[in-house]
Amino acid sequence: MRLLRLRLESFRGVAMHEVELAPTGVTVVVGDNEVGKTSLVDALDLLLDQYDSSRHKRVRQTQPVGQDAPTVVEAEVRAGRYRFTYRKQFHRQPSTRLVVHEPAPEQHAGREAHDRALEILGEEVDLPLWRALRLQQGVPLDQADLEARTSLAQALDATVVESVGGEREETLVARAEAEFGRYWTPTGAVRTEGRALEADVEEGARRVSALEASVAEVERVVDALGRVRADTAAERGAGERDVAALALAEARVEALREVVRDAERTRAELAAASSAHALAEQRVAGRAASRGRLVEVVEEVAERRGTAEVAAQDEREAHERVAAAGTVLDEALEEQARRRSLRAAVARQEEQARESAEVDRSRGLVSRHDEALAAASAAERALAGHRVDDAALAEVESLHRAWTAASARAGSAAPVVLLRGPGERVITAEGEHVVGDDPLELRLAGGSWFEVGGIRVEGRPTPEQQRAEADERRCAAALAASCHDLGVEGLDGAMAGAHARRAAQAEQDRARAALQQLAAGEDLGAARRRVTRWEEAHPPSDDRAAPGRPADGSSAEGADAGAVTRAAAEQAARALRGAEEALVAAGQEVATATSRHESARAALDLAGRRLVEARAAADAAATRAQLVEAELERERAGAGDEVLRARVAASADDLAAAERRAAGAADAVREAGVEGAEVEAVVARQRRDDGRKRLRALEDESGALAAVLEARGGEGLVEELAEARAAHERARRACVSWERRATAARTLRDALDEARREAHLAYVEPLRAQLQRLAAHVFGADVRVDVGPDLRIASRTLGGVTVPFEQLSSGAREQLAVLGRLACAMLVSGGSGVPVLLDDALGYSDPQRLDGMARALAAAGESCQVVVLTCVPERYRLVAGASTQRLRG
Amino acid sequence: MRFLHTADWQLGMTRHYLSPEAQARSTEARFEAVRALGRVAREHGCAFVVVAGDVLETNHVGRDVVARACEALAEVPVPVLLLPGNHDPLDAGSVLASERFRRLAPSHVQVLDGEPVEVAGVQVLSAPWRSKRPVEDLAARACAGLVPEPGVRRVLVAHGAVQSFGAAEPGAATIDLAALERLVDAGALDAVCLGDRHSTTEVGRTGRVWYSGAPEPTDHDELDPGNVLVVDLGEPGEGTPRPPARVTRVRVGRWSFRRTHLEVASDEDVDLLEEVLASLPDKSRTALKLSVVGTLSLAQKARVDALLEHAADLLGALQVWERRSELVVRPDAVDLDALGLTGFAREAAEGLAVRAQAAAAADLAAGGTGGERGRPPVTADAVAAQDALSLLHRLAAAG
Repeated sequence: MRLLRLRLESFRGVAMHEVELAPTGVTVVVGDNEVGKTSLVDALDLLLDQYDSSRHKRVRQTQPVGQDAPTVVEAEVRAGRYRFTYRKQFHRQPSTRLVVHEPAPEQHAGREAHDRALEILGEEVDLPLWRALRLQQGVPLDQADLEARTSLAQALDATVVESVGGEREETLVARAEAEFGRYWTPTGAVRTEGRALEADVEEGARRVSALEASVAEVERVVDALGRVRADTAAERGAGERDVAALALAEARVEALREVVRDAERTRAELAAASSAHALAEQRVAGRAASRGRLVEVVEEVAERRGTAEVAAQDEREAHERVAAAGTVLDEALEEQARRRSLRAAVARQEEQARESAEVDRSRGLVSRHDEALAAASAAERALAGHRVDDAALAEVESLHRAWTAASARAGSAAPVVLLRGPGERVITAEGEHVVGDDPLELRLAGGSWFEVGGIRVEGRPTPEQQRAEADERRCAAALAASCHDLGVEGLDGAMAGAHARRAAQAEQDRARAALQQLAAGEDLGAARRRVTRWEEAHPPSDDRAAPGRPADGSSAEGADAGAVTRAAAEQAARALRGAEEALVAAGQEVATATSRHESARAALDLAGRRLVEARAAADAAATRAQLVEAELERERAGAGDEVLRARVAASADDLAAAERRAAGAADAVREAGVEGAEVEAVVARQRRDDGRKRLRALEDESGALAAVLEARGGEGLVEELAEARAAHERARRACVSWERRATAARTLRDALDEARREAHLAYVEPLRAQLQRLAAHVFGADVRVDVGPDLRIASRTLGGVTVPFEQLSSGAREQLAVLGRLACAMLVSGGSGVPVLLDDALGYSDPQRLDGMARALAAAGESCQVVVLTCVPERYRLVAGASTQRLRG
Repeated sequence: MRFLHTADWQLGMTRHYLSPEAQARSTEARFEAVRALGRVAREHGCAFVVVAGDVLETNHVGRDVVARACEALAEVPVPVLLLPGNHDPLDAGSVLASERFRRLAPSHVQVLDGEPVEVAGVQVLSAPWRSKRPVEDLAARACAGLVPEPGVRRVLVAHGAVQSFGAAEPGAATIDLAALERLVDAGALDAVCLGDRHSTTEVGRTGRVWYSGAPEPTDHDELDPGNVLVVDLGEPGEGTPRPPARVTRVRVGRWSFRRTHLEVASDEDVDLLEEVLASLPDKSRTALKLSVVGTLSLAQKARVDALLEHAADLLGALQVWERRSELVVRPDAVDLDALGLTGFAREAAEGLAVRAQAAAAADLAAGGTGGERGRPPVTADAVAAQDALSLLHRLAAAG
């Protein structure tokens, strides 16, 4: 399609515009903003799309405000082999006129014109492409949507063997895709339906196997049952045979019974004879035993009697020994008594001597103690005489110091008078003084005066001095009082008194210590008592007990006397020990004699007992002998010895005969083979019983198997199996069929996709190449452009750097958008080509790029119609061969 | 004296290629056949019916089959003698010998257990199978020491394969035909009623040894099933030598099992297929096994698919014999033009066509003959490509 001329009247704000466009090449339509450039495009759209009577908003908006004039749009268009003028009047007196100039004149009006125009255009022009190749002001800057534009496709196809394919093919692809989707998921996995079918097949196979197994099982049971039944029949036959055999054996046994009974009878007889013989022998033996016993008893009697005699003799001897031991004992006792009395006397002496020594000691102790007491009392008295103890002394000393201090104070308080005048006389309280060369110093203490030269000088003490002197007086008084109390004269006296007291104290301490020492370890009270007792028992005139002591009790002699008594005591003690030893020896003698006497007596008792026993035993034996004899007599009365012996012989003969008969019967039994027959019978019975057991077991088994069959038979397993097989087969076929269809769908889709992709790739190339050639003008020769299968620019590579379209700068995108359209138009140029319409484009491009774009535009203009609407004509100044149209407002 | 000879009822039989609904119809037809032969027996004045083996499909048929069998037997007006065959031997699990069968079976039904049975003046000898694998010729045993007796007519009922009759090598249980023929010649046997072969077949030269065949077909490869035989031995004492036996074939079967093989390479062939399918009589009782071989265009293949689908709806069973069928789809220019495919779609279609032919082409290139028995070699990819082409045809042709 080529736009040749376009005319607007009363279109929106435009009174009238008419532009003539070069059918090939670039036409730049220049006009200021709002002069109505875009209206040109809108008007063309309205002309093609809307009826003249349309009240559509787009149409109504074109009505000029406030004017009653109709809006007219007229276009002269070349479309393929047609050239026509198409005119529409809107709003007022709407009309449509179509005048076809080429190839054959036509005239149409109204709706007819509208339809014919569309018909022509539809025939010759790819209208969607026309819309796609526009770059309109205000419309977002975007790539042209070129995919599957038929004319483009066909144009591209012209250079490629394969056809891109049109609606039909796309529909086919869509249907193939849909068919694919019936069997496969988008990720290419089998849909659950397919898997379910597979599962069904598996399930079917499992069911078939299970049923086959069951049927086989039943078959086995049938076979087993058959075998068991056969075995049962065989067993029954065998059982009958066993019973017959048993009967036979038992009959035989019965027949031989007579022989057995006979043998038994002879055995019984043998037993009887044997016992009779044994009895007879027993009797003979008993008689002989009796006789023997009698002889024994008589011998025993004699023996016992002898024993009794010996025992009597022993007893007599024991008597004599007892008497002798008694005598010895008596003598020992006498000796002991004598020694005892001797010892008593010696003991008394010793005791006395000891006591005396003790008394002496006590005496000494007491006297010493008394002396110490006296010393202690004397010391105490002395101490009492001295009253000045340390405390008192201290007090005196302090009083003395106080007095001294007070007097010093008083002295110092007192004024001191110096009297000079050697040789002058002074009279004081003390007397007269003559002043020497040195001045006379007088202290005027309270009340002191001196007189000189008829002048009496008295000191009038100050209060202070009075006080000090009072103090002094007081202190002196106190000191004197204290000394008086203590009975001493002054401090020195006190000191002497204290000293004396101390000495007395020491003396007392010493005395007390001596006393303590004496009292330690001694019970003085007991000692005094002992002394008192002794003196009471032995008045001083009595000398016998002790060598005595002097009446004054002087300890010096007492010591000597003590030594004597001690010696005596020792001697007495020695005597006592000797007497005791003798006594002890005597006691031992007595003990020995006593024990001997005792043992003699015991021996006597023993001998006595033995004698009694022996006599008793002898008597008993005698009695027994009598009894035995009597017994024997009685027996003999019953049957004499000879008779018994005869009986034994007879029974021995009987026994031998019975043995012979019994042996004969046993032989007969053995020969008859009774044993064998019995064994056979036992065995036959066992066999029969075993056979019965086996038969019962087989019958049980048979019954069980038959029951199983009965149950299974009714289940119709075989039918089920046949049905399962059929179902499995159906499932398998369904699965196979489904799989085939799924595979077919996938194969077809893949084949179509593959072909389509290849075709697309093939025809994308011309567009890409064309675009790249144009882009070289703008970006340089080393630019590379990549176009995707959807015919959109994917990326631009410049200087080795590939940038996706979306990330390019606005300027670059704008440029590529324009170039894309130009490339498309250049490819499609020809019959169904359409003009490229650029409405105010390239606003983002810098001068250098504009330069390149101008070259590109010019290149496109060589084969296409390019219409550029702009208010900035400078932009397109460089486009070679462009014609310019101006729009005036 | 006439009697009816039938065999191989195999009641309770199922076939996996029958849909459940078709199976039910088939099962009912088999019971119906029993009733039908009862009517035949009455019409032809038969004195009794012998069933020479395989009365039941197995010894494990369900209770319902036994019950329905006895019910159908009740409608047979004359005594029925049942011989246990290899499908229903007299083993421990035998249905015919079971308590239940004895209870349910009508009184005029008798199971032949090897003891001679006297019925309608005829001595019936039997060689029942007692296990699935007999170890001897049961028929010979049943006839052991048989001598002809004047005035006594004997019929032997046996089951199994007859020697020298198609068996690869004779087993121990094969029936010795020569011995039987000798007995027949000698007059010891008047007729031998055999079962096991499902097609009605005359055996040997005597004209008295027959397989009656199954009263309803059971498989596609049977030559002449669906019959019962009415055997007429004539009246006793009708002169010597005895009159020849007249054996009349009477059809009772309703179902038919067919096999058809077709080659299709052109529209006419497809028309022929259509005709063949349409002309089948009694479709709902027909089980068809079809093998189709050929190379078709997309359109033709689509047509064939539609025909087969339609036929499957109508027939009792339609099996396409996979092993003997091969339809190669080769789309031609007409196909593709007809589809109005251009551009990449056409490319894709042509590519698929090449793939579909790939295996055969490779084979030819390697000097092969393009397949055996008219079957070109195929690979999974070729099959996938063919199916894809059929799908393409369907999707594109949908407008």
